[in-house]
Amino acid sequence: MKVLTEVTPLTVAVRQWHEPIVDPGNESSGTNPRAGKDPPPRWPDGVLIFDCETTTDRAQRLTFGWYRYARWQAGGTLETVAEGILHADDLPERDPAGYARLVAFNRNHLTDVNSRHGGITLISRRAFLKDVFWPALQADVHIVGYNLPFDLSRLAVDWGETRRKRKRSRKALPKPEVFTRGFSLTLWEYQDKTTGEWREHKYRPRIRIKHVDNKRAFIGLGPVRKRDRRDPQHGGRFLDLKTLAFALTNRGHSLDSACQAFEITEGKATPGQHGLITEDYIAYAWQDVKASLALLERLRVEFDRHPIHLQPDRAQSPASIAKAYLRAMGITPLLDREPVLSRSVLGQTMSAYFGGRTECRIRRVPVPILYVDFLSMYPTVNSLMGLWRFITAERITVVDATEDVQALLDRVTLDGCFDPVLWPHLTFYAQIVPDGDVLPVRAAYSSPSFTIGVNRLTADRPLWYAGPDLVASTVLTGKPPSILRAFRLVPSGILSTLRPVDLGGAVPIDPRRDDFFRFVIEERKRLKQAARNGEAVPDHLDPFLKVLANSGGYGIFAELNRQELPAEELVQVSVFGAREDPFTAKTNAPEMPGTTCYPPIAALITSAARLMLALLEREVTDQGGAYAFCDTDSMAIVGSEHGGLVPCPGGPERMEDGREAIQALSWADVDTIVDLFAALNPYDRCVVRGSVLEIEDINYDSESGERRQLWCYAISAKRYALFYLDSDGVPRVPNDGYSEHGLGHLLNPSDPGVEDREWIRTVWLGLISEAQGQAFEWPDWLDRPAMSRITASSPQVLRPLVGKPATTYDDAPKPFNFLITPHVMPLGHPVGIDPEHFHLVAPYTRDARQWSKLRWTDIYSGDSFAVTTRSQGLDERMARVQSYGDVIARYRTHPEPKSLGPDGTPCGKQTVGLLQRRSVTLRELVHIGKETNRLEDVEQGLVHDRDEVQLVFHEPQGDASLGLEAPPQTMCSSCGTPVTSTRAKHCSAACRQRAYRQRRRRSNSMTRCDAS
Amino acid sequence: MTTNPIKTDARHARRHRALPKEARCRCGEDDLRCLISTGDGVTCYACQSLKFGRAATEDHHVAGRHNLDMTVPVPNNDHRVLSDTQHDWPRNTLRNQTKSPLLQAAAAIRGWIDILVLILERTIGWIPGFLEALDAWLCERLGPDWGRDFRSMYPNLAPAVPGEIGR
Repeated sequence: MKVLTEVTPLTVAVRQWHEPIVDPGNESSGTNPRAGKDPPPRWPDGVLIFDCETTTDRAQRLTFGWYRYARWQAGGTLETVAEGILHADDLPERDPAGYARLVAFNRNHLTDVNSRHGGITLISRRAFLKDVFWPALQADVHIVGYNLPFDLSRLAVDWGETRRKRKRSRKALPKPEVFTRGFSLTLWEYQDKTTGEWREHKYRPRIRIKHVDNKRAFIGLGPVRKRDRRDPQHGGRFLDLKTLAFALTNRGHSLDSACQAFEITEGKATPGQHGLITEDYIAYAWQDVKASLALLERLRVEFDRHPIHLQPDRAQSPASIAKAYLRAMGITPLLDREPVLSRSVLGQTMSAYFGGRTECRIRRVPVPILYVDFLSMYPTVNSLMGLWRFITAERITVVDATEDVQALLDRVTLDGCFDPVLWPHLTFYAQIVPDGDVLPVRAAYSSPSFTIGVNRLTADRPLWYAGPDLVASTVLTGKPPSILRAFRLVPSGILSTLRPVDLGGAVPIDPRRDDFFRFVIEERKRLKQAARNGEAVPDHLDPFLKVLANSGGYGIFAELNRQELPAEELVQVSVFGAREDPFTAKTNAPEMPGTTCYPPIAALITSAARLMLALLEREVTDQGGAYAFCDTDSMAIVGSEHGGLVPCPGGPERMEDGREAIQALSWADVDTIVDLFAALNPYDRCVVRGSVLEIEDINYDSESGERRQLWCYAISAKRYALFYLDSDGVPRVPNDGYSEHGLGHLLNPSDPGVEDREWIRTVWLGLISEAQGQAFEWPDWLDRPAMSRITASSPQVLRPLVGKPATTYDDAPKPFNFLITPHVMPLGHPVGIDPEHFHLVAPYTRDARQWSKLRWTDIYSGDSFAVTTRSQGLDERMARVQSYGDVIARYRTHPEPKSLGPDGTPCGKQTVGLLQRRSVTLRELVHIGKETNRLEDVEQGLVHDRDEVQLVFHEPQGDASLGLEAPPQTMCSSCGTPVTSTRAKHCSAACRQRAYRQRRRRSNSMTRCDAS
Repeated sequence: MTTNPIKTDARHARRHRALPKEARCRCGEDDLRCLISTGDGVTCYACQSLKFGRAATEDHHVAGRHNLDMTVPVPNNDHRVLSDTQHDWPRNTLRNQTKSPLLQAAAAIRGWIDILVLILERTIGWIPGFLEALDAWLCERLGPDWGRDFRSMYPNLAPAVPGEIGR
């Protein structure tokens, strides 16, 4: 049956590079205020560590906490010189019994620290802030905690939203301000002598916290009204152990898991019951502080192994450490190299930047597979292309290479791509007018958000692509694209600042001689071999090198940081992208490049990874095979021990009974393909033997070590599970064999307080059993509302929860409180509510029976609603939310609109079988910003409007140079200025809120009129 | 003997911030508690007093001026050190607003302890550091076993470790 493949005109998006437009006289001098001063010591002499315990109600207010003040000793250990218990100011009145237990505990227990400084002190929160916290800030010691923002907000008495100082000139470049739209906490008070009221101490700074994600936050001191000239304000060094543990391990840890990971014998204790002050609970909290202190000692040992200039309180992620290593090697920022790269080139290379290739090819049909993945994909392609010579080059020049590139594409073949000599020649960018070429296309395939698919693209205007993508297109289509213009990046010279450094303090690398990307992978392999041979290998090295290879191999070259300015403060920027000439636009969220950002390299890396997958795809399809899915660096190839036909709707083959089928490759066929990639092994063959394409361990039985038949059930990109059949034919999903994408943000329905993800495996088992026609007994939690746990991470989320009229700080939910949020069904919103501006939250409770009785607050309007999972009996103050059963029902049919179904129409919910590439024609081109802002909020459903997290720039109207019709321009319905977004009705959040307030006022006045 | 080590560290950090790195007076004084940052650079309190024609000693209230009038004359720099040390006392002891005789006694004892400690530091406090530096210098010149060689040349020296006594 020949099917018609639908060609769809779509809005296509490319990334862009923008820079604020500044008057020459108003440019920032770029001077660092700390320039000329000595950097502060990496580890100050002292440490103040504290941990707060709270009530378990919606306010989660402070009950008591423990603190310890310790000094670093010569051996890297901490000597505690003071410790004590702090309690809420009103605890003696609020909970006399609990307070009495604290007093008794204090009386009956001796401190186990240096007794020269007295025993355990029992002080109130105010006394703690005055006599402990403030002196500690003045002493410039580390203020330490685990999940520090939560503890700091327990000490606060009020909060506000951080504001940016108004810039002096509208034309001046805004200074990067990380705290804007974060929390500003008031800690210190003074007692008014006349009224006796406690008021904010205006001569002590507030503490500002800007949440980044659940592992990171920026914490700093705010400005104060009066500065002591003899002792000008100093920083305040806040060290969150959670962040430091993440930076060192690339894993999100709880205190418990961090203690286990760092082998602390006396780790976190188990609380009997949270909230109620008992002797056991006080002892538990005491142990928490001790465990945190022990963890700090271990983290310091780990951190100090690295010969890098990085403050531990500035280590926000593994990327911070990777960047510090590049600095330690003497590598200067690439964007500062001479000659300065033209902004047009940056825009063109940025427009050629796409993330990794992830797609589902066989949908909702269980198929036998072999799961293969590439060895450290990004470091491998970096080594193949020789990108290290760019990073260490003294100069990077751009030279025209139009004829050279066209000739290369004309003669490139599949076999040629397996010659490593070709890869260093792929570091070019070319402009083409796509004509059915198979290229990465970022388009609004079905929803307003953009997703990337490798599809056939036809356009009426030129676009820029990276060399490996064009080679991949040639390999997949057999037709070389026609080049309009191409340039090549040419490195020359070598930085004079390069110097050797010891990775992890143990592995010397000389950047002048060694290719960093190759070196790290080879060293890992060497260490593994040495360990197998029984040699003593430092335990920390292998995990560290893995983290370094991952964090330093790609992301740091694409780092752009979104600067959130106040909604009304629009900055004019020049946008460089796929167009010949830049255009101007306005935004209140300009993106600033990180220190190692360099789009020409970032785009090449992901492009080369896609070329690797294209080569693998071609090898598989050339043998008549198919693949179930691919995900950045891996592929599930349909295969079985002896090969043969596998039934699959849309397949080109026929089973004996006439059903459509696909060809499964035999294990031997796949092994042959795997061996082909040995040619692309850029590493020392004595260390990294064989192919860079590996058959994953999951294909082997963990006990017998023999290869087993693995199966795959995929729904859409990143939503798949691998499984095997046991001796009874029952599907079993191994550990790490299933994706959590699309479900991972939900609480465990069997016990919301447990972080165990086993329930997701159960979901996959159910879906697989259903697909195989087997009975499956679903657990009884299907009817419960599907909940996510979030933190009150921004004033926007918290403000509506405070209540109307505003309650006191003590009684109201506080910054960084844990909240739960349901997921409203489509069309389940209360009548008259704008679905895009409706999001319910409630204080966290792990008792699922209470969820339906809670008061749920809409974070946009502040109004309260009830929730239900039933479709009947809804009233206007009730929202219908998804149950776990609803979520799973939607999950099992989640569409893959970037592909076509077997019938040639875009893949919808009911599509089953072998998918095809979609043909896309470019209808409109938009330039967009970073795609991964506030990922956590997006996953948890806190972001309803794409414009909140992503920049979208439209080209100016009437582009005569391209002979194009201008896209329809909408005007802001509030102020009348042109709107830069495809969907928004307003030019800014401020206008949207203004219009919303007007609507509400109008509606209220009408209600009053009706009532009168 | 401090009651709030955090405040002690805070005072120390404030002094550090107020003075340049490795600050030292021309006379050799490098105790941050005695140094003063002037427009011309860093000087110590004693040198500044000398410059302005003040006396070389000042009367120090041993128990604090709120407790007893008893004073002893001390060199100017030492007065700065002793006054600073008093800030480590419990606040009630130093202020003694109720004029408690027990607190007065406590303050007097604390004050004399501070003076004795200072005397010890000023008289023999330099010796351990000097000996350690000398040992390092000799190790560099004569090798790490210079001590054994030295003992073999002078067998009548005191035993090296307690276990050797009586052998």
